[in-house]
This record gives sequence, C-alpha cells and structure tokens, in this order.
Amino acid sequence: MPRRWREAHSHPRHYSRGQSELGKEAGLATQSVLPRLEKYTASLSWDKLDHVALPQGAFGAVENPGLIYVSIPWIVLVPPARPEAIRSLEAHEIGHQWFGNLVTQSTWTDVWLSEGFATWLSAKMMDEEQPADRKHINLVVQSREAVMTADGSATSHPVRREVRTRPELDTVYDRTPYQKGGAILLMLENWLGEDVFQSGLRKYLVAHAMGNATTDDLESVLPARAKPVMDGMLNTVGVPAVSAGCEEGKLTFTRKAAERPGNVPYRFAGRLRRAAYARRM
Amino acid sequence: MSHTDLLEDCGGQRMRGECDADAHRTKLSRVVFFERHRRGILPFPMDARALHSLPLDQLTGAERLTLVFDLRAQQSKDPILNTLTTDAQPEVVRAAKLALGLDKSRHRDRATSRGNLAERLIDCHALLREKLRTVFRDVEAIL
Repeated sequence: MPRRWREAHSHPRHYSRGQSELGKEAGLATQSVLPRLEKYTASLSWDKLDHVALPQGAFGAVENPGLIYVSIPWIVLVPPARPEAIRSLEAHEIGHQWFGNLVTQSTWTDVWLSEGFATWLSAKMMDEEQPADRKHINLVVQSREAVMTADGSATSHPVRREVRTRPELDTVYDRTPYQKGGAILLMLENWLGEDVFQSGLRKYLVAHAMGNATTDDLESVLPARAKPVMDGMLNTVGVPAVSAGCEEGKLTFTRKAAERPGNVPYRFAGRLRRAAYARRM
Repeated sequence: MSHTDLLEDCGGQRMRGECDADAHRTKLSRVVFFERHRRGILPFPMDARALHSLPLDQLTGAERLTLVFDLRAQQSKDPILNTLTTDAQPEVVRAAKLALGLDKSRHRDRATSRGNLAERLIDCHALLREKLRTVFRDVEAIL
C-alpha cells in the first residue's frame, strides 16, 4: 500500500487556492518529515497523505487519516514565519497518522497516547536536524521545562484522568497531555534506551493497528520496570523532587517521603571507587 | 555505554538508579552529575560544592540548560550562572540571564516560541471553547 501511494504520489499534494507558492514550504516539510517518521515507526498505512489549507477552521490542524486540515496561517510560509515551524507542525500532524489514527486511544483518559506522542515525535524529528551540540535542547525547552514550570499549579491535573462531564471534556486538550505526555516519553526513551523504546513502540503499533489501545497496552510492550514509573508520572500531578548529595564518599538520594507514588528513574555520572548508597528518611 | 542497575528501597517506595559501570573502577571524585543527560522530569538540586565541581565544558548543551533551569527554579543566584551567561548556546545564555534577573524582557523564555506547536494548539482549542460558549449562550437566549 505505501509503495502504491509512493508510485502514484511521489510528492505530497497540497491545495491552497491562490497561495500555492506560499504553500510550497508545507510540501517540502512533508517530504522532509514523512520518510523520517516512517523510518522510526512503520510505513504509512494510508493510500495518500493530502493536506488542505483552510482559511478558517475550528482547530489549528486536524489529523484526519490521509487528509490533514490545517489553518492557512499555520501552513503557509508568510514571513517572518520560519520553515522549521512548519516542519514541526507537519511532524506533529503526520505523527498522528500512527499515534491517534493507526492506533487510537480507547477513551478520553488516554488522549495523551495521541497528543503526547505527536508532541514528542515532532520534537524528536526537529531534534534530528540539530547539530550534535544542540541535541535535545528543543525537547528540554518545549517539554521538560514547560512541564516543570506549569505542573503543580492549582489547576493542574494528572495526564490521565477520567472524563465524566462536558466541562471536563472541555479541558481534555489542555497543555498536560501534550507537554507532560511528551516529557514523560522523552524521559522513558532516555531511561530505557532509544532502541528498546523504539522496539516497544513498533510492537505497540503492530499489535493495535487499526484499533484502540490503552496506557496498559503501551506499558505491556515496554520493559516491566517502565510500568511503575509511567503509572506514577501519568496519574499524579507535579513532578518528583529528588535531592542528591555526595558526602564522605557516600552517595545519598533523598525523595520527599510519601510525596507521590511510583518509581523515579534517574541517572548520574561521576567517578566513583564504589557505589555506596545510603538511605536517608 | 553500559549501565548497572541499582535499586534502593526508600521507605517502601522503590527507587531506581543507574550509574556508569565504568565509574566503579576509578577513584572517587567530588564530581557527580545527577540525572545524567537531563531528560527526566526531575528537578535535581545540587549543593554548592558539587555545583562548582562540575566540568561545564564536558556537559552537553541540554545538560547545561537544565542545570540553569533547575537553579532558576531554586531561585539560586549562584556565580556559575554568570559563567553560563556566555555559553555557546543562546537558550542557555537567555535562561541564565533570566535566572540572574539580567533579562527583564517580557518575552517568553522559550527557545522556539514561534514554533511551539503545543502552545499554538492549546491556544486554538481555548479560542474554540470560548466561541462555543458564546454560541450556546446565544442559543439559550433565543430558546
């Protein structure tokens, strides 16, 4: 199917009446991003991947399978807009072709499986374009720091939460599933290892292709140690604070007691004669 | 890079740590950099001694940036921030200046504010919600 699509449409099609020149950047962005997303995940499952630039739309962009709607100001390159911003948008929306379309979250509770993944994938694709000394800077700024700054306020809520009322439904698409969801994925990838993480995601996509999935389904394809970390991060407001000290050759890690459930992954680098841990309550 | 998993039972809540396996073979140093790679969502406060032992030139740009963010979150004015105001990465420079109060601009301290897709989506959703509420109010008034 992807081969047929490639043969029929060697270039993604974009329609924007009267603004074809300005829309060229979007076409280039798709050509840049799509192969990299396919390489990371799997071949695109749809026969085509068109974009329609709309003068006005309810949302900035909607990732219909094979046909992405995007508001004109978001997709046409009107100076001083930057091509990177359009590529980032493309990476997000095309990323949904796998996370959201190919595999859709079972309930609103797991909307992060769509938006968190698209946010993380977009940042990851953009990160690939950076030189070595700038690796992960965008990810840190857009996800990690944004979450650590905003999470924990009076209106914060866990990434996963049950939605029972219409007012609750209004806030399903707030920052949390996007930014904290993305930040958690960034953390997991770093902690579990890029290869292990990618392998798990591919299994997840294959196992639930053209179907629904839950967070449990995702956890089941990752190493067992991921589950307690993910549950703690996804079901709790705020982020864990861990302090560490190095005294008389002894490393001490302290987490505020009973602050939050779940495991906390961390790494450290140093020159140690022996690993000496102490518990400080 | 190989890693060895170390588990520490902390008050009934298991904590997982990973350290460089190679690190065990060399002599203890004052330099221990917590949360290596700095991609976890964990603020890691460092005491002054550990902080000043850090070989900044050996940290990645992302590590230096999160170091500044963590110091800023602690409202620290540590002199190391002055050093980082001349960093090679503009995001680090900007964050360090903000932490020191040297940058009073109201601009968002986001490296890629224009390209911050999530924010744009969220703003758009908020706008939609507001419009829908207006429509519902109008409909209710008519009914």
